[in-house]
Amino acid sequence: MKRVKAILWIILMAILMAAAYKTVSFRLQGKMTYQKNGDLLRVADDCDVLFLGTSHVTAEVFPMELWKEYGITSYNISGYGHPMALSYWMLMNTLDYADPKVVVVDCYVMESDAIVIRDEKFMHFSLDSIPLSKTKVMAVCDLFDDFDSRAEYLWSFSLYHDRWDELKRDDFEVEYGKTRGAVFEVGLEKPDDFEIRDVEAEPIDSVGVTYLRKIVEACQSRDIEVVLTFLPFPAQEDQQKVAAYAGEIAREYDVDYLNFLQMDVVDYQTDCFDSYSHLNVAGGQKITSFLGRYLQENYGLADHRQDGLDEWDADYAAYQRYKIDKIQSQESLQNYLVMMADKSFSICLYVDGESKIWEYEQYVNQIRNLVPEYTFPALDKVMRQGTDYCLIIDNVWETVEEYYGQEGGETETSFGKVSYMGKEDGSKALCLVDSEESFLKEYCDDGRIPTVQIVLINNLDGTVVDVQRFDESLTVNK
Amino acid sequence: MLFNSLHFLIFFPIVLGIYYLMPQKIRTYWLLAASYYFYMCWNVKYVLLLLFSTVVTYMSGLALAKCSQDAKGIRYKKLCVAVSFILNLSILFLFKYLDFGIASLNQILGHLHIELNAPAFDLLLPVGISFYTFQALGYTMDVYRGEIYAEKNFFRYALFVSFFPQLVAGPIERSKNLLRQLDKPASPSFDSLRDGFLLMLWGYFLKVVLADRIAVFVDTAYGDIETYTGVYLIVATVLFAVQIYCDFSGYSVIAMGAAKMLGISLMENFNAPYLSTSVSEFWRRWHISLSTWFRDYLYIPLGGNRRGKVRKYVNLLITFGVSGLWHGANWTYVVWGLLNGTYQMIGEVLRPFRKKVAGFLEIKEDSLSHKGLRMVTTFLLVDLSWVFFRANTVFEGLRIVKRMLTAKNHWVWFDGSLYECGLNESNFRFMIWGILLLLVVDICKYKGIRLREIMARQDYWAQCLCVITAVFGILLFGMWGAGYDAANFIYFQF
Repeated sequence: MKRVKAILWIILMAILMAAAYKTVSFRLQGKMTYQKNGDLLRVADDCDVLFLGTSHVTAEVFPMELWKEYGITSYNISGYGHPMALSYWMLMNTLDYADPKVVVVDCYVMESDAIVIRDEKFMHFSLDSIPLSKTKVMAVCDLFDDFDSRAEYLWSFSLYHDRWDELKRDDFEVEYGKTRGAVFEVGLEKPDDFEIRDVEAEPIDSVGVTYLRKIVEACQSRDIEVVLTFLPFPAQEDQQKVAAYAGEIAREYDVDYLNFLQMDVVDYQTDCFDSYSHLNVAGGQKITSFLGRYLQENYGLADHRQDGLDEWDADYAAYQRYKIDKIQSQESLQNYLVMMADKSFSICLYVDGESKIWEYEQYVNQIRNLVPEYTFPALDKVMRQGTDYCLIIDNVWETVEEYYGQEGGETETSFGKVSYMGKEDGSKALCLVDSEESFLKEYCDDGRIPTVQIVLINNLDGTVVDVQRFDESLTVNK
Repeated sequence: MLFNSLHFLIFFPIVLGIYYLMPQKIRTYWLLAASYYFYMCWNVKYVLLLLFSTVVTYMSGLALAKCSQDAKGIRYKKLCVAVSFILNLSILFLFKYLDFGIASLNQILGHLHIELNAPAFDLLLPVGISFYTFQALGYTMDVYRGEIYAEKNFFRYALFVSFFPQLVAGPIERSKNLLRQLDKPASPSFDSLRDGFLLMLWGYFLKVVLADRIAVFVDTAYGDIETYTGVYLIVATVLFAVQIYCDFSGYSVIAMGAAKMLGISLMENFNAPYLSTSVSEFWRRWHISLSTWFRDYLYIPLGGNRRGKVRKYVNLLITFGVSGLWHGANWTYVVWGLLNGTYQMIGEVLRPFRKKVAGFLEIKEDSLSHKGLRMVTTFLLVDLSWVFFRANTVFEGLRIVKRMLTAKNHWVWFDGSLYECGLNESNFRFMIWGILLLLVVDICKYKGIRLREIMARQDYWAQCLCVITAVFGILLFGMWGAGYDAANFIYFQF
């Protein structure tokens, strides 16, 4: 009897320990991974498209935009520095929960022999939110040779147990990312010198290519369509050769290939986040829009917006709020304009004639980039004359209105009637939405004089979500 | 395979589980296989040295058993012991002391302007060689003295030498205790399982929560004595005393716990040493298995205290000098050993004078205050010797002592600078709380209060709660896993 009691107590203790462990280990775990892939498992079953690749994909493909614009359900399971091997295992783990119709694989770094990311932080960023499963064990055993690393990735508690002195509210109230795996890169740099040429493909025998083939074969064995891509960046000749060889692989497997290096989708002068590799969020918007249209036209993907996927709508609203927060946090006009190149917002922009932005071609290009298909006839005159300028972009009704100098007028928009009155002798310019108070101010709250003023309207409900004023330094001045 | 590695945490439950399930008569073989696997995880080839030592001492035991008691037989016995000692100590010398001897010779000859430049051999030091060699030689001596019968079963004897819980860092077991228990491995009871598990938990607390946390501070300070001078070094030196205690006693306690779970009792290796009131008492409480080994097999054979005071002091210095050398092939260890021998010698010489002064000043020697003063004094003396134990060279040790004594940065005590020496504030504070807990447990031990027995008398729910708290305490606050290299136990190098 004593033995039975002892066994019962041991079992009880084991249960209590397991419960305590489960609670404690989740609290201690680094939460960055949940920002990226936290809700993957929740929505994986809905997804028609999965995007694989490196940070190029992470920064340039926005699944929630695909949802809003095309009703395509997708998830971006790419990650920083993902070698093809890691992309392959991310896909295999996701396929345990998902049944996609198309997998889009970016071929950047396919020439690499790397299997794991050198910076362990990014490996954890990608792998930690994947639950323990047979596939995860296979992945970790394939990616790592040594016992300690395998233990670290299969039992991440061994890495995070000492976070007890840095626990914060976020560790108890975990917020999952709102972007379905995408990350906004907000910034603008001039690209390095590069020239796109017609290069010959040279065969590549690398670990990356081996795993790319495994990805394609795994998808084809499951009747999943594959699209290979080579997303744009200021690519030098050796990278262009890699892109050309990716086309050879696509032909070999009879899958579609989109070599964006050879396409005119982005404007490198306004869409580069850094000088050599990544696009910013403005460029990402263009890539996403292009991919959405391409996938819908060529793969007959259903528009799920009317299918009662309420949680996708709710998630989109949260995503929109996330974008607004991100926009509001920008402190420079340059970054603000990068974020505003987004069709889900409408804009009223006013530039004082004495503003310095007319001296910099970059800002003018960024304004043009807000509606790339529009010609901006007034803008050229304003640049020559150096007068006031008012731009009203309605991305719901897809209209653009420009005023400059002393002219004024009224325009009907999806968010109300906008009245603009130009500056006349001694008077100030006015811009009113639905006859409310003019948002244009002569002075900022701290007394400085604003030279660029912007109103941002949320297309979801037509409400003003942000008013930003930039002074002479072209930094934020609320 | 370190006790604080995931490898061991997988290995041990498997060994334990199968051990329970198998018939008693083959348990010895299972433990022997597990022990050799344990050693081979470190280095496969060096297991031959372990085997060599085992075979030599096993054969010497059998040979000793066959010797008659007449004069010829006794001569033959002495020859057997000599052969066993020479062969074992030769191996030990070859792997541990040869390069040290050559380097020292080169240095001495260099001072005499004689260029010899004999090359070093750079042999990898076999883990635990000093421990298992001494354990095996202890067996030879015990058979020689007739204190035990020679073991006839080679596998049982091989297990005695290689028993994995204490193979690489002790306790250095006596054949009288361990061989007898291995004769018929006991069926572990629930009580011994619980007792062993609790011991292991305490050992892990000492090692991964305390020793490895303290090590961060000590390594930072000692690693850059130009920057971390004065008060930093004082704190680091005090902390090193705690670190080495937690590290080594942690290993011993885990070893005892693991053995206990297998139904085998190992000897106690530490008994609240820092509560000692004299250096000689410290050595009766610190690394007991080695201290008693040297007492029984070196100090007493040298004549002990039976041949007059001068000879006693010489024997003491020889014993502690050799003990220092046992710890490592470096003059720092010899200095450390001799310093401890000298403390005891001076303590002996001054004892009558001390007693007279105490009597004259009417100091009650058994009062708490007097005891406390002596404890602190003993700790400081022992701690001073640890400086040389920790230093890379004798001169570095002297430099550290000088930098401690000439401290001029007393603000460090107050302005939070101590939190910038490897450990942040929360970790530093946690370390202090941990050391206080250790002090409480040691006081209980000193006073004969057996905490495990008290715990065993509590309701099961309370026991469960304690165990869960302890397990999670170690898991959360321990320095282990990714981001930390599983820190070696300090005594592994010996």
